[in-house]
Amino acid sequence: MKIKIYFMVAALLVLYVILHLIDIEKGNRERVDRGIAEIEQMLRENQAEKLTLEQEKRKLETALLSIPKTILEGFEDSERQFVDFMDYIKVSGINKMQGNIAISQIQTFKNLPVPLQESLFEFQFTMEKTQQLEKFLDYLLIKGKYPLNVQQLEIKRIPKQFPHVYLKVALLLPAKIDLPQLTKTDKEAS
Amino acid sequence: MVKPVLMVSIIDGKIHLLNLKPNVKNYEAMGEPVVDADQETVEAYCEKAREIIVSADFPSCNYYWGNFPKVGRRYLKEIVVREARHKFWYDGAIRAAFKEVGQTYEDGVPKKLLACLMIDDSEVVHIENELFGKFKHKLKTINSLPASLCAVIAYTEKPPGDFMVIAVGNHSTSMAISSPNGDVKIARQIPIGFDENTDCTDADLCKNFFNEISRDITNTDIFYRQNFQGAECNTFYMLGSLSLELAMERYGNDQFDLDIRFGFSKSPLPSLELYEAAEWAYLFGAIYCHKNYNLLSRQIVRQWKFNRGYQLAMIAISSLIIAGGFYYYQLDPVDPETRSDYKSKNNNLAVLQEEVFNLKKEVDTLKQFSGWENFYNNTYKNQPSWNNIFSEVARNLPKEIVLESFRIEPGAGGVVRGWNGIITGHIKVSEWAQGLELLRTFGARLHRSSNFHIEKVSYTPIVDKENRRMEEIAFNFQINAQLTSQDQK
Repeated sequence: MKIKIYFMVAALLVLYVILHLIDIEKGNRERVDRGIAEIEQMLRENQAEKLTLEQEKRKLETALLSIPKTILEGFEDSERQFVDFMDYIKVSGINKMQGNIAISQIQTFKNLPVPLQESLFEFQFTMEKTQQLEKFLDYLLIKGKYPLNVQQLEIKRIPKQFPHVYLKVALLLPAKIDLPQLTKTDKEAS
Repeated sequence: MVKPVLMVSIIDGKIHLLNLKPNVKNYEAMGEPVVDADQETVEAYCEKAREIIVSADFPSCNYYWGNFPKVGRRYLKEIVVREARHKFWYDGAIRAAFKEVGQTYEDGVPKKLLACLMIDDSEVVHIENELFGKFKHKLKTINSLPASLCAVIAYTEKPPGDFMVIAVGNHSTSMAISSPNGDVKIARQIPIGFDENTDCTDADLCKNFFNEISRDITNTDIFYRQNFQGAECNTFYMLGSLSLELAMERYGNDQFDLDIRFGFSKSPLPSLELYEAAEWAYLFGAIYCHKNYNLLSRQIVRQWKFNRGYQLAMIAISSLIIAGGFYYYQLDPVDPETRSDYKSKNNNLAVLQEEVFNLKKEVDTLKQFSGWENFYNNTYKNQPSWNNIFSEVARNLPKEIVLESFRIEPGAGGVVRGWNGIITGHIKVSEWAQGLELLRTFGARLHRSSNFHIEKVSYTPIVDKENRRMEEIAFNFQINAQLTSQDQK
């Protein structure tokens, strides 16, 4: 009887081993198949994300590259730039138009949209002809190449006098920044 | 090849054999029975048999119906044995078998009615150890011959009431009265036999045999009626050889006062003829015996059950091993290509994830500089044509219109903002229509210009202090316009 029991135990062990091997083999197969499916899914997701990021990067780089480098590099010393601007407007010809300049705010730091020093200038003068005004604005806002933000321009008729002009501009002198290294391809694309 | 079930009948110390082949529903006789087999033949048959079923005419066997208390089977057996010792004066060890056949009341107390049979232990031990010692493990049941005969009659004929079986052999006759379920009530063995070689030919001898048998049947019936008050045995079955049947037809019926039927109305085993069934009933009757009448020792029964269980379990396990082996063999293992594909894709994923990580870092860095675009757009870019818009207004201004003011302010907006321009003034004319036409012309000219986009024009008449219109037709107007920047042109 004991031998029979030993035989049965041995047979059960063999059966257990076979079932265990089947389980392992089936498990391996399932694990590998599931793993491949998961990896393929992740590859698709990562590729889509990469594409989106590349587009976003290209867009940001294009925007950054559209800004002239001299503007980005030329404001290391804001004090110097402020003084230069003062010298520049001195020869603007505003004196001939019975005008005066008031500085309502000097070198105030602001963090947005970029870190900068803001100064507010108010110009008041009279004009005989529109060409006078346009010449002045061309000198100040177009040829000057200073980062000026016009906040208000108003021309008012004064009875029996020449029209009166009020111009308020902000001189924005940003701090110097270290530009990120842009890729060659992106530079070419821009 | 199915191994046969060996049916063994031991009568008067002689061993008779018959092989049965088990079918799904029944058994089938395999060949002729071996009558009075010697030890060698018995061993040869036992060797081939799958299991052995024995029925024997135990001379010391006693049958008894009695009321017993309602207790568990283990205690019941002790009570039955004690009762048997007391009733039948057994000296040595006895073996008892019993079956519950009903319930009775004794002095209002419910009791079990048991059909019991008791036997000297030595008689069964002799069969177990000496006759079938080598093949003890194949022994399935050992039954008494009367119990086997009554069982086969009850199974096949289904008699309506108590019945008697008269099994006539060559040297002795076994008589038993049983309940309709095959539970033996009384049994006797008488030393009168019917020798088919001689008795049939001699009419006087034959008549004398039936006369003696008839007397013993009557005595047995009287004994039965004495022991079972009010009971009646109305059906009689005689079993024996074909020549006995023929002799009974010729001489026997005259000798019997009772209605005695010979053999079966239908064969219990489909493969046997009726006369064969009647002649060999003592051999195969045991297969119909109730399991409670099995006299085999419990140890051998356990061994037999273990062997059967072991066989079935091993068959099941072997089948599972074979099936599992085949299944494992046909399983498609993970091939090296799939493994390398998995590794390669995993590596690609790692590279891609690193690229995405680096790109995110770069984009995050670039986003810090996105304010520069805003700064640039609102300083150097998106400016109206400062150097010609005023001349353009002046050029398009009719002389009847007097401008009061011209205000330019940056509009609200996101990255690229617009410019709002508000022009106010007044018109003095002789007719309304003329004034309006002048205003319309002025507005249309400005709107056609690439520098202006007129959005709204409003005007109001000028009244005096008493809210009366002035004699000279005059009204104020205001033009709201969007100034187009140079970069948008």
